[in-house]
Amino acid sequence: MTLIKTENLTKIYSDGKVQVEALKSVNLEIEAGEFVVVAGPSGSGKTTLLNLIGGLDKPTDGKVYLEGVDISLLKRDEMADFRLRKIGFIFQAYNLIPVLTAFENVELPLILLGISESERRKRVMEVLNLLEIGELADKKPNEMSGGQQQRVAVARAIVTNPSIVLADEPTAHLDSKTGAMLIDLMQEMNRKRGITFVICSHDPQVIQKAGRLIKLRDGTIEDDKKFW
Amino acid sequence: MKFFLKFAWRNIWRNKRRTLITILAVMFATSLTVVMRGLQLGSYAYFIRTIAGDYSGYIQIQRAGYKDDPSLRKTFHFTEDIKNLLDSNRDVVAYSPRLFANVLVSSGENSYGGLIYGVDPNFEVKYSNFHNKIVKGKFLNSSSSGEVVLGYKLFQNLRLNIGDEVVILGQGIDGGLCDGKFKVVGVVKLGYTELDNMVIFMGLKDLQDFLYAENRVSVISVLLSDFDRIEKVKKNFSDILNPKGLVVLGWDEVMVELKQTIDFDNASGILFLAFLIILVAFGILNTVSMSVFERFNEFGISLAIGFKNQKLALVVLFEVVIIAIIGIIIGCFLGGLVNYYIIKNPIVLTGEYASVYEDFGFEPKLVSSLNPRIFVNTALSILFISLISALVPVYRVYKLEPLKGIRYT
Ligand SMILES: Nc1ncnc2c1ncn2[C@@H]1O[C@H](COP(=O)(O)OP(=O)(O)OP(=O)(O)O)[C@@H](O)[C@H]1O
Ligand SMILES: [Mg+2]
Repeated sequence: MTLIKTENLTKIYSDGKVQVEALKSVNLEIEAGEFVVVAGPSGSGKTTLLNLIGGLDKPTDGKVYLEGVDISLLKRDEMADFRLRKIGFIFQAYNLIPVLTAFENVELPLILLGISESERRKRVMEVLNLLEIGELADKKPNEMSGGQQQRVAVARAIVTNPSIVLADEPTAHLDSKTGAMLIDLMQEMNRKRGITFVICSHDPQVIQKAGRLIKLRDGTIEDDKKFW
Repeated sequence: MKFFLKFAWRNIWRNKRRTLITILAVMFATSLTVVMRGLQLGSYAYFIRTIAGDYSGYIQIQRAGYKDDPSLRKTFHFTEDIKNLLDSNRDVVAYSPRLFANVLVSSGENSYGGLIYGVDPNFEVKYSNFHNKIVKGKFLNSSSSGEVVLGYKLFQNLRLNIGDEVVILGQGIDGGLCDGKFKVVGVVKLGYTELDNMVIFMGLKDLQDFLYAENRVSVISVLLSDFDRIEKVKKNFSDILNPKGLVVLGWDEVMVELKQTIDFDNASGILFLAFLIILVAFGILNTVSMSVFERFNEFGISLAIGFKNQKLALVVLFEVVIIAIIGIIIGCFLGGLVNYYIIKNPIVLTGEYASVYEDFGFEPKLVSSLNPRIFVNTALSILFISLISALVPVYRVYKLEPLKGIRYT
């Protein structure tokens, strides 16, 4: 099943006089269950692509279909709901809300979904245990290491059973060992739960784990290889 | 909802110092407002009680038309029915039937205009404080006959001594002139120059005989147990007395000038407090703006994972409300304590202020009030202004786009 489809996806940033064509008519299809790594040098448009797919930004031209839905047609609140139900996000750093514990951070999307307290508790603990971070439940982000924070971010991204998780340089702020563990974890979630991952990164460790590697350069797809 | 409140609560304590300062500011404004309003409303109540207690009464019974034409023709009979009505109402503390007359008073060569207060000592002593304001001689009593008490200035002007006789010339109810001799038994200092210059207290019976106005009175001043009884009793009495050609007026309708003075003072007090509250509003605006500003990145991430803008804005609004309510509650409590203390231990004025008070017949003290209205109005105004001042930052959160937030840092 095609999960994501982009059609002539184009993004031009213009601040004043300077215009930057960050994405140039990108056509891309991603199937459910894939483990995609988007690589490419700095400024090649990785983040731009991810933001457009996640509906965080609007394309200058072209379309994004998520599960067949043209997301440009969604209103602001509908898009928020769509993200809540279908998409998990993992950012580089400062993913978590500082005043909430790990448990509460993971619980947050479930609260927004209006799920009952007992059901929330069950699902949060299940995910935390799955990621082997149950003991972090009552810790606040500033009491956790960077790697632990990113694991909690993964837990928050997958707790709603989204169709897709979008991760932008999730290992950028981690040492290589912790980074490797994190990417292994994401792969495990991909295998165990069938969640589709699209990860932007120029971290070799991440690229090496890719099920499909898309290389971007100057806003176009330079290379697209499937490994499994 | 519970979660959003918890979330707001935690956010507040993120920057303890800033939050505490804001709460302190709200608290300060609240307690200052409560104390100032307490002093104002307390003083008004005291003034009204003192003045109404001697003169107009909380309510007053007159004949219709007397207010515009206070002449003898507009007097009325103080009947048993009216007496029974007043005696049987539990809110009535005391009352005094009075007959007024403008006369000429002379002694030897000297003549002055005078205003006779015809009062029944039996009622009057229970009602007013005039008998406590005697500076020479004595006040009238139930056996007084042919006796008068004069305002001290009039007494001086006429160059009298206690025990001297004065000649009073007036116009009876039938329009004919009448005159009589009366013995001066006392001198009173009321504190109002105008009255001290012309007042003559005379037994009600004496005056009625003098003016051929048997059993007639100009007004009946009535004292009630509390201000808040005024409307009810007024209504009640009006229903019964209006058909008889009588009207029942509140103190504010009788003493229009006092009412205006109080209204003006009240308005200027409120203006000052409005200014104070606006200062607090800027403090809150500043706090909320800063705390929102610092969290743009976090808000961006919250929006990205599916938090809706309106819910984020609601959380920020909760934060403001919580801060405001904490400040308001503590402020009301502290302000209330101060007011309570001032009520129990009135601030005694000295110097110039004191003499002004004394000239007007007041005790030179500042009193306060614990009227619930003060607390409710203060709390609502400050809460309202807090919400208003939070609108701009809250609106920014409402309009925030996820990427703007995330990119912010
Ligand atoms: N908000 C923006 N305004 C203007 N130009 C932007 C904006 N965001 C990105 N760009 C430009 O668009 C191009 C692509 O940027 P993008 O962030 O997508 O690259 P990237 O591959 O994610 O780079 P990096 O590896 O450094 O994160 C760059 O030239 C960048 O300068
Ligand atoms: Mg990037």
